[in-house]
Amino acid sequence: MPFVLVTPGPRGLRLAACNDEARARGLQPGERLADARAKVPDLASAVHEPAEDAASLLRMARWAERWSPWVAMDPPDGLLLDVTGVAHLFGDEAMLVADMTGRFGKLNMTARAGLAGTAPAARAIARFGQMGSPLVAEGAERTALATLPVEALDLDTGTVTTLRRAGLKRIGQLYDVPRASLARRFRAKDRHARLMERLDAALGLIRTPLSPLSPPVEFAVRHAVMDPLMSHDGVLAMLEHLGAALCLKLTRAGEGALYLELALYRADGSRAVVQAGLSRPSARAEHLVRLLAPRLEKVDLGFGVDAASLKARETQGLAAMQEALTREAGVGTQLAELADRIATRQDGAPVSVTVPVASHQPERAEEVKGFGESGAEFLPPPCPSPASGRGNDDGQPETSGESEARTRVSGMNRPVTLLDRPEEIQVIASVPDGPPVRFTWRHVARKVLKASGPERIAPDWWRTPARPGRPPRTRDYYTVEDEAGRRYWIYREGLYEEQDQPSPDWFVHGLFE
Amino acid sequence: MNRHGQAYQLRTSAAGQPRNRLDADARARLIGRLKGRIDRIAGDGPSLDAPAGAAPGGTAAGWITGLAGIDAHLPAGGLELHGAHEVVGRSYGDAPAALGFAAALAARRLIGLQPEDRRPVLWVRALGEVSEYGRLYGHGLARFGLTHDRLLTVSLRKPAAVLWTIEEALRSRAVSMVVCDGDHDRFDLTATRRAMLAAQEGETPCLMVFTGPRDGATAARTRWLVAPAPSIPPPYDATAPGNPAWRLELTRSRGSRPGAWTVDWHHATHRFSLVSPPAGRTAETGIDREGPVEPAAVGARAVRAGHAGPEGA
Repeated sequence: MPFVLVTPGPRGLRLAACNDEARARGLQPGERLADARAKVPDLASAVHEPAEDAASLLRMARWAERWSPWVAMDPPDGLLLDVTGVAHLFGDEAMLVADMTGRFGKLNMTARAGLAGTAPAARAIARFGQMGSPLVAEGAERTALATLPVEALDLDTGTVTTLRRAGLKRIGQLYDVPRASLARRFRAKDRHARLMERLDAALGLIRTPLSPLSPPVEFAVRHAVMDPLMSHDGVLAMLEHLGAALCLKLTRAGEGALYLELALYRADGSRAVVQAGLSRPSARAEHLVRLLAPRLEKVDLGFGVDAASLKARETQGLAAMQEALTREAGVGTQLAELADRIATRQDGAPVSVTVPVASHQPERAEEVKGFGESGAEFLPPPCPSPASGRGNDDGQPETSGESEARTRVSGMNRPVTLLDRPEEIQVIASVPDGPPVRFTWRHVARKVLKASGPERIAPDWWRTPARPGRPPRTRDYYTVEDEAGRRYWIYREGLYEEQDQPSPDWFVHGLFE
Repeated sequence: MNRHGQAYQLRTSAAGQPRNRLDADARARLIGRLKGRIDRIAGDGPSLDAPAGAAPGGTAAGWITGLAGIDAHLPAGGLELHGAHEVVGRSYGDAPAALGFAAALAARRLIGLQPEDRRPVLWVRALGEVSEYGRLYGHGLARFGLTHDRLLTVSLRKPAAVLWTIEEALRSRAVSMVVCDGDHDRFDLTATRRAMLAAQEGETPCLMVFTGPRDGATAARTRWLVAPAPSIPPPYDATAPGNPAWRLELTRSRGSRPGAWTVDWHHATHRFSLVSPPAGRTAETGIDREGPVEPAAVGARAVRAGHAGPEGA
């Protein structure tokens, strides 16, 4: 049955790939599906999914490691294997190639093979070679490639067009053309350079390393026991064993776990999963076990647990860490581990850092960040180097812009607590801009003995107002102290002298220490 | 109860009944025996007979108020470093003052650290506090020296979680101190005792802030009652509020007598200073709602403070 894959093109769906039968009926990739249907009414089609193709190519590449450990992908549909020194394991090179095509054939895949001294040559033979032998003898690349079209060199269409216009259709024709005269044909010099590079690589004049697939990394360990474990102590012991094994794996790979998953397999075939996240990558078994252990207590062991697997689902490279000699772990690590334990034990309550934000609006002037994302290090300040102190007469190290901003902010009069929602108060105040003399907050009348202010904070007019219909108004902040010595941070929203505006309201926004 | 009864009997017998009058030696022996018993029950901390400054729980140099009057008063010559302390708002509405005094003590602790020690302060909040007095404001705390690179916060809902977190943090030694403003109903003697043990084990101080009045038994080394005091206006403006000022009452302190002071706090220098009644206006404004603390009353309380703590454990 003729079958095609289609992909959305500039004007409707176009064919991305055709099977042999469709090709035999005269269809070509790139055609419009509507045209193809006119030619072949019984055409079956499906949507082309490149991502699936890539995934399946990767699977195939892993499978191809049966022949050689050195497998690279040649998207969209090729594999490159370095078979140096492995052919004898399958007899000889011809038998190796036969084995490959045979095995792909068993999977109902048509495979074309090429074997040559260089990867680009082998690729060209496999993709464009005619029905000759797929094997190219040592040093015979030049002759083997001569009859192949220039497309076999994996060139972009512009280069191919330029070459074809010059009448250079076969690779062999390129051998004799002086390079300087060929260069004149190309307006873009890098195209010419790339062409020459490809040619030289195919002929083995320059080396082109293959970038092989990295071995599949899976940081998972399993442990099974003869008799099901009925007690949590037993499972905990198993977890300690697994943690040590996993951390050994992680350490060897220079990785740290970011997300852990412990699966407990019960004797009756069911499964319990315990998970824990980390704020920083860690490969310390003690820490990983301490994170998971409290959650283990809540797991129902059922009829016993006879196997468990511990997996680091997410990992991150563990930077080489210099730990203090005197302590087991550095302060940063200790803190991160503490933060992890708190976050794991107390769901939804991560340790956080409140970071100042450059905003004059008090409620927007800080931001709460999780400990992990804040990147706070809590390291001692770097020693001022002689170079940095040179510019200053007083010998003080230069302050960075950030710390300067921080000191400026902290120098302002700000209360120790800020009400999430400013609370409206009734005041007696002198007009237009005096502090209140009396005010009532939370049903208690308070007499103001001392006051300072105002500190005027204009609204962020470029923001959408929180309450639609009521544009934000200027705030005048006062610090007032009542008879008991309690200090409040209050503000008047709006000005008395404003025309066409409702009279201002007063709010308590914060409480001073 | 039992011991109070004994103490009462001792007093009455010593004062009133010649028949059972103990001679001086016997009396000293009895008191010595009772003190030994208290020490055994307490099991830690300075002995009742220990001279000031000989506290076993860490040197005081790491955490002093900086006021000679207060530091000399405390048995460790400062706040005991490896121990738990309580800061209590004197009445409802004094929560900001209590939080402020706690922040000031935390700042004093950071000053006492080695310069290369950058361990932050962990502030554990019970979320219930947020609604009533608002959230802790970073810029306000930064004025105390608790800038964002020296302060970690964690907000928790369950009281049990608060206690667990405090203990875990104290034992981890990863933070320079733990401050919590907790639910005072759940912070009974057992809870404070656990915090105290964790502080000793982790050699990390713990400061428990209670925003409302509290008068239960505690295993904490000290309990400070904090109320705001009228501030001394800055010299250039007699009508403006000055530095934060607090009326402090040391109502419970293991190994020392109670005391009362009025202090104010200088944000710029991170220092306390004593407000003496003649210099400041504290006395003459006369707004201390309960009047000055009677020394005799405080003394009676102190006896209870020394004895009642360990007994309930």
